[in-house]
Amino acid sequence: MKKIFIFTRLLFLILAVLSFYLLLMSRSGEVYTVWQFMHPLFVPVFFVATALLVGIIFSSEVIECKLLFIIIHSIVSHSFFAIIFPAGSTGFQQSVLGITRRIFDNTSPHGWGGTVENTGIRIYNWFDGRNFQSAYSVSLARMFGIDVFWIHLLLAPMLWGIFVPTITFLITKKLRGDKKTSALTSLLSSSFPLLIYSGANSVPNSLGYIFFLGSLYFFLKYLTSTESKYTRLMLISTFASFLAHFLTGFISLSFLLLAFSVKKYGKEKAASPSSAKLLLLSFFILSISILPFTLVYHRIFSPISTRFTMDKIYEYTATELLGQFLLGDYLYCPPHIILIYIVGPLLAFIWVLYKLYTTRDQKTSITRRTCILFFLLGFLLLWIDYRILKLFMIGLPFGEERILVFRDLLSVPLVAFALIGILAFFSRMISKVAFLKSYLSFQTIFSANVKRSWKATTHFAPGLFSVMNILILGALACWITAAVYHAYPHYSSLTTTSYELEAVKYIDETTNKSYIVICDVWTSYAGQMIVGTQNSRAYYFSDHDPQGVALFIKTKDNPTPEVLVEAMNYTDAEAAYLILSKPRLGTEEYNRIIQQAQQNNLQTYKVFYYRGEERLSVFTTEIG
Amino acid sequence: MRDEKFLFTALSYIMILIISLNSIFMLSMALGITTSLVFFLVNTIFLEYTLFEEKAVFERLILGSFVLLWLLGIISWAILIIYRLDIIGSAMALCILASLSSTLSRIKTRHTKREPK
Repeated sequence: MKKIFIFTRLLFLILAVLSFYLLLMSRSGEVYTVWQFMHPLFVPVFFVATALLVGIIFSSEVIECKLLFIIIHSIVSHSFFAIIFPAGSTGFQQSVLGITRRIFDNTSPHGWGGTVENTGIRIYNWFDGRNFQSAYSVSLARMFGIDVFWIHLLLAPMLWGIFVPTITFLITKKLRGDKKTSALTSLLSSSFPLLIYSGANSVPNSLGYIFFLGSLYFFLKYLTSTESKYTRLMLISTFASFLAHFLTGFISLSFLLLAFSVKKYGKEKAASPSSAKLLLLSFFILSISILPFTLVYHRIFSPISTRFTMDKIYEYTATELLGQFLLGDYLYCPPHIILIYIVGPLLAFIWVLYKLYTTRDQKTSITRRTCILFFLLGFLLLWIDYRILKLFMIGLPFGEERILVFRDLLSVPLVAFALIGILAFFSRMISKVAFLKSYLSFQTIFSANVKRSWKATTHFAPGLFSVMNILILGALACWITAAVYHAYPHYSSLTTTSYELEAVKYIDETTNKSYIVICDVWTSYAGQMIVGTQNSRAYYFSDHDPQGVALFIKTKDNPTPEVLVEAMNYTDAEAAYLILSKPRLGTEEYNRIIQQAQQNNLQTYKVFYYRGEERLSVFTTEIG
Repeated sequence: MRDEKFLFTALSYIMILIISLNSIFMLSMALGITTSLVFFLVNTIFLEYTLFEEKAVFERLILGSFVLLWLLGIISWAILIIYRLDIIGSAMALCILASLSSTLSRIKTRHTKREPK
């Protein structure tokens, strides 16, 4: 048996290393989606590795080994953006690195926005999740001696890959799952596309989700334990969630209130059932209202216009409204996508209801029932909050779908219980069929009493069980691979390219005076990643700065030294650069602007090539 | 036991010193990763011993490292807001973290000794 374990361990490690190598091979300097240049062998290798991992989980391998393998698998699943794209996913993640860069270079003391004059706004800025994430990235970059670029890109995938499977493992154990169920939970954390996508993006919200999950574990400990240390840990973890992102902070706060009320309900229901129920209901309503009202009053500190409205309701027909109410935005997706996104949460929700029903009269499992009640209320809270945000509010500072990530995090342990329950049911069915065929009853690897049952092995039932086990391995591996496949977008604009990064680095290395760069939004992201956001020495307009956009359009229409001088006046810079990228402008437009710029005596600073083809040009002008 | 704790606390501080020197002079990735891992391991052990002694070893390690991660984030964030997160600021954050883990562990040992058997 030991030899088999050594073989499977080695085989999994080889497959994991091969998956990682194939991802590295798929890295490209000019890419739209992670799937564009994905090595054709990656998906089959990943599928086989996953199937092997499922097999290892259901074997009697030591739990530490199983968890280690799941962590490796999870890190690979969440690293696509960081490994394949030259600068990670495009957008907010890159702006966060821009801020981190400023803090790393000590040009932004007291954090991002920490020196503004208005005290209220300054305090608000301190609690901006970007400061908290930057604190992590900068500390770890200094500790490891690695550039903050790589630490930032890998921060969320690594932390997610390590802690989400392990904390879900602990949560399942807390819900009295055995080691196999708990290990299955860890693996199933990779079967939710929203979780994969969140873990792959190095943004404050992703960190917040990790801390929320940690809080969830301590909420459960608080519910089932009398030790006061768990109350403290629960409060600290809620605070950490809040520092990481206000959304995760307020959802953690809602769950904190729920935990308090469920515990109080458990204590008081024997003495006064009706008042205990009333208290639980009041706290539940309070918990639901925290997020919508916080978002509305958020406008005190931030220029957002979040408010309640009935307009959305009037826009939908009755059928659309029902569809939105039940499925949200998935309403417009193909059925197989809907299935991949909702099968997990649906299974979890059904299992919670089923368990609450079947344990209604049991006095022995009070603590477990309390936890299940907490989960049910958590599900309902998220479901109602999502519908409020989706149908009754406008001007939200984030997409409502982010609420669904909490739902998925809550679902992971429950799905494992549901699956194990379904498997046990099928095992019983097969045993009954076998018995009817005059064979002895017999159980599978999912049974607790394996030794005795194997003695009763017959020819008929093992065949059925073998088929069932292979089907389970295949089905779970398919589910996880499909989730990973659908988690990463299949359509996207061109991400920040390697030559855009090179151009930005080249300008910074060869310019020893202050400068400003006029460029498109993608090059601006690249610039922020290398020199920092709003760096007065090396200035790139932020993506939402209308002046930057206006200047770029003006330069495209009329590429003259005067427009560049106008840009220089914007930050009192001593030099200005214009970056033009061929794939973004189109060949015709690019050639026209280049020709015009040369005619207007703009000085060509450097031309960049990718695979032998001209891809990017930098023009400059200097005062005097 | 007490000497061992002192030894590990001292080791933690030495690691901070090496990390700081590395980020000023050498910028060696290998040295940085090695010293950081030793630092994380020592302080994780302190925290898991203090907070999660009743659990199985690997569960303690998971929870200990998770709490260490929180504390690193919260302390670094506080240093960033109050002062700045330059090399000195980062070293200060690590020193506070090491001292906190060590102190918590000592308090726990003292409580355990006082408790009647």
